Amino acid sequence: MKIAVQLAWKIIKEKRKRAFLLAVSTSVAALLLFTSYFFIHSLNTSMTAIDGRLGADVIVVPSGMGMYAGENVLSSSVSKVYLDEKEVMGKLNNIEDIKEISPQLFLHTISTSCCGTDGDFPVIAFDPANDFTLKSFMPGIQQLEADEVVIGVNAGGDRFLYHYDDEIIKEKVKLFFEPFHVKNILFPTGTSADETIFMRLDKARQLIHNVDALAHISSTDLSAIFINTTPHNELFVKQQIERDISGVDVVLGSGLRSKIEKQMLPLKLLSYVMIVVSLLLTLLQVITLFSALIRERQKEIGMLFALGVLKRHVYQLLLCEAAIVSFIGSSIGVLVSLSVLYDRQTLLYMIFQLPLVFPDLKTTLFISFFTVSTITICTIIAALFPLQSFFSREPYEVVREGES
Amino acid sequence: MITFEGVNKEYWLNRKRSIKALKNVNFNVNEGEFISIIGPSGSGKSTFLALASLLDKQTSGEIVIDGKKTSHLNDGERTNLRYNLCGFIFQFASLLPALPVIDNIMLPLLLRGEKRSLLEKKAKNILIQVGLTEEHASHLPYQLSGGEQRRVAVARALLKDPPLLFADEPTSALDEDTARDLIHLFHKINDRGTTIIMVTHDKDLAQEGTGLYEIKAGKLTSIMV
Repeated sequence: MKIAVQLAWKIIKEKRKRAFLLAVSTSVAALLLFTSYFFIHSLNTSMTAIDGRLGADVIVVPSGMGMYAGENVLSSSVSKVYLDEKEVMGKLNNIEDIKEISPQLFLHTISTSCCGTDGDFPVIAFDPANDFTLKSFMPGIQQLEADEVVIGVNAGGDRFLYHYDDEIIKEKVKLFFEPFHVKNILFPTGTSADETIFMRLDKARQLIHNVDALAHISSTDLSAIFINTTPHNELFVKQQIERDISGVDVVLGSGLRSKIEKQMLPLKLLSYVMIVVSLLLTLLQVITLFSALIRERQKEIGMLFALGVLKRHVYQLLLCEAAIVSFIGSSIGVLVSLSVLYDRQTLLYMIFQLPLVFPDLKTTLFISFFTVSTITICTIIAALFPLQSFFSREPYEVVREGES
Repeated sequence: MITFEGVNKEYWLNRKRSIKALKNVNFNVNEGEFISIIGPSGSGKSTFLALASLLDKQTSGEIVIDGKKTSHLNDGERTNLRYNLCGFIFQFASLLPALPVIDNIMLPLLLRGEKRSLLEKKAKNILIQVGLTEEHASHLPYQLSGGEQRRVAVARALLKDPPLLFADEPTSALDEDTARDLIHLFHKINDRGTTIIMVTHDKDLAQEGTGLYEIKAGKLTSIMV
């Protein structure tokens, strides 16, 4: 086998044009397959991430705001009607089947320039210690300090870091007359959360006392409370809240999840179709190319038979060639796809307007490995077809046909 | 060494039409002989050579090589017999264009699992025997002349010291001097005990052998023994 690989490599190096053609073909197939699989994986990761945000089994909002609760969660646009924390949180803490509670407070939509991006940015306060809605979009959000904010990707997020004298500098933003360090950006969500600025709830409550624009908010006000329940008890908890707490609307989260899933379905289907098409294309391309290449080399193959080389050795030599070229081609395809995807990440969010959390390094490596292996195996299978047709004939027939 | 017993070869053009390339051929060649076979184009010379070297299967009759009946051998057994007994020089050099000369010579044995380190020295020696130099070893086939390419093909055929050497029109497309050198080389190989069966349409060249046969319309006749 080692000798077949060595000889195959020599032949590839010498017949570069031929190898280049096959490599380009497998490269395109790998690019399509990788991109499709990458998208599907990103969408699934996003669904898991968004599950954290939409994963609130129950959402409590001020009375009359229930019909907008979905919009609340999806878009972060909230009303100026508030819940009273003292009254609501105390009672919620007494309900046994509640697992997690994460309160949020909408402060103000502020017109400012954040990291060089001008716009109207909603400012929302949350409690990092108890949050389960945003953490999927930014690992480490629990460590947010009082003088720090986290910003959405469209709130200047792509420019919150810059280089000065070889140092990476994080941007600052002035909110309600106070400077805040931009700690990090949220993974893009494809929702209006991408334009939002998030700060700590305790800091927001300090600001309420000092800023006129926030004077209408009291220090115990909340805009929405996101609740996670013990499994299968969402309805029970909803009923408990409705019975125990007056002046609130209670909304179940499950409907919101399915809404997002429906939104993503066409893109998912398209990606699956792309996977099937790219695999079929690879097979067809390689069969066509290899048929032509084998026909061109018919005399060589016949000569090898005549010199007493066994069919399995000829298989080995030719399949090694196909495998090496395909491996190189598909690796290039994966690298190109990966570079473009990461380089144009923000553009992709703008196009799809959907949550799209890219996979981590380990998963990316796995997808790359999967793509390269699949394309290489497909190439080997495809190369077998034209070879089979030769190996069923007498060597003399192959030599004579090759000479003609 | 090789015996043909009433061998026929028929090629089917379609379900109804066929061409009889060889008709009831009886032939025997002993160890160490140098047999030439002449005949016009399309007479069945190459078909005869293909059957004798187990590159093709006869339609009927028996071919015995080195005491073994070959009509019932499977593909693998025929390939192994060919590998162990036969060397082949084609009408064209038929070298792998992407591999250097040395790899072309060693290729069949390398693919069969023989060690490169053991073969390389022998291959270079054979290169010199066939009138090339060690420097030619690293050349690619396109960097050689037609005559040099043919010598490489001879070296490839001789590397495993085959007791039987088949040559199909070995001097075609070669100039007179190169052709003479090649035939001189054949005599040297034959003197070492290698049996040679050469097919040619060149009557002068055919006289070089120890035996001469002619094929006409698929029938083999002995002209000189």
